[in-house]
Amino acid sequence: MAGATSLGEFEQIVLLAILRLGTDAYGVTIGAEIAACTGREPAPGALYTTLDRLEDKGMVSSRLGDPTPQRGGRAKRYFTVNTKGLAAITRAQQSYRRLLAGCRIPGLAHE
Amino acid sequence: MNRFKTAEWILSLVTSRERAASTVGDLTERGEPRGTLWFWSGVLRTAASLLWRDITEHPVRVAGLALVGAAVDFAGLLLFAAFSGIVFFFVAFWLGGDALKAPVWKLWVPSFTLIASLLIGRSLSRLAPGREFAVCLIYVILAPACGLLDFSPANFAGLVLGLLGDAALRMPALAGAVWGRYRNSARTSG
Repeated sequence: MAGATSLGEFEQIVLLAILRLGTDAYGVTIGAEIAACTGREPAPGALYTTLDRLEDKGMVSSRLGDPTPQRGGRAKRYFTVNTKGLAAITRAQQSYRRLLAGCRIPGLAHE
Repeated sequence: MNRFKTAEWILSLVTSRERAASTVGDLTERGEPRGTLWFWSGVLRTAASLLWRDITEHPVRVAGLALVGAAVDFAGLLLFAAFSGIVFFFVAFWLGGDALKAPVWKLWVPSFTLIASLLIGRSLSRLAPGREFAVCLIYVILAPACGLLDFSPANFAGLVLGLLGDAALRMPALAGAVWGRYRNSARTSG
């Protein structure tokens, strides 16, 4: 897979959370979605560093929403997955599936 | 300055102002039921993570610039030592040797280190836009290593205290990083 940008495990989790949330993906909802799906709340430092890194890599893009009083008048930063991010997550998940296909793991449904 | 503005200022040292503002907004929203301690812990952990990322993404460049700062620091100290020798000679010559025992002379070297560190921090910031704080922090850690040149195993405690003292004297470099970051931001937006 030469030339393809690889993704770390947490980067994949963040990308999948953004995809699940659609147009409502910002820091708080992404953190909550990850906590709901994995059972572990991400540390704020890890989450924002990963979001910044994904944006710098061109895998996600962000836009600022309107400021709200609940947030001290600060705008939400909404994220969307770009084509590059979508390609990277697809590749990563296909690799997992290929690896899983050869495994018998108790408690995991097999296709 | 209220706590939100302070938090935003801290984060803006290691990320863009827009990102800092939205991150503080998120932490405010998430921290509402959890209290002030959680909010500040989130701010500091986020700032530390972003700073660590700045260091680890380009470690060679960051360490290289910090070493350049340490070399300039060392060369500056040598020049200052030579200059001090001349000044001390003339002070002793005109005012007598006792004049050099005045307490004000004890501030002579620390004053130079404080001012030099501030200027070195500012100069390093110009060379590392976006990573000002990371480079200056590594400089603060690396520059006192010059003290290892006169390392003596018999006085290990003295060495450790000396290194910590030297690092403390170079803390103004972090203020230089803030200064440089403002100048870099003004240059980018202007």
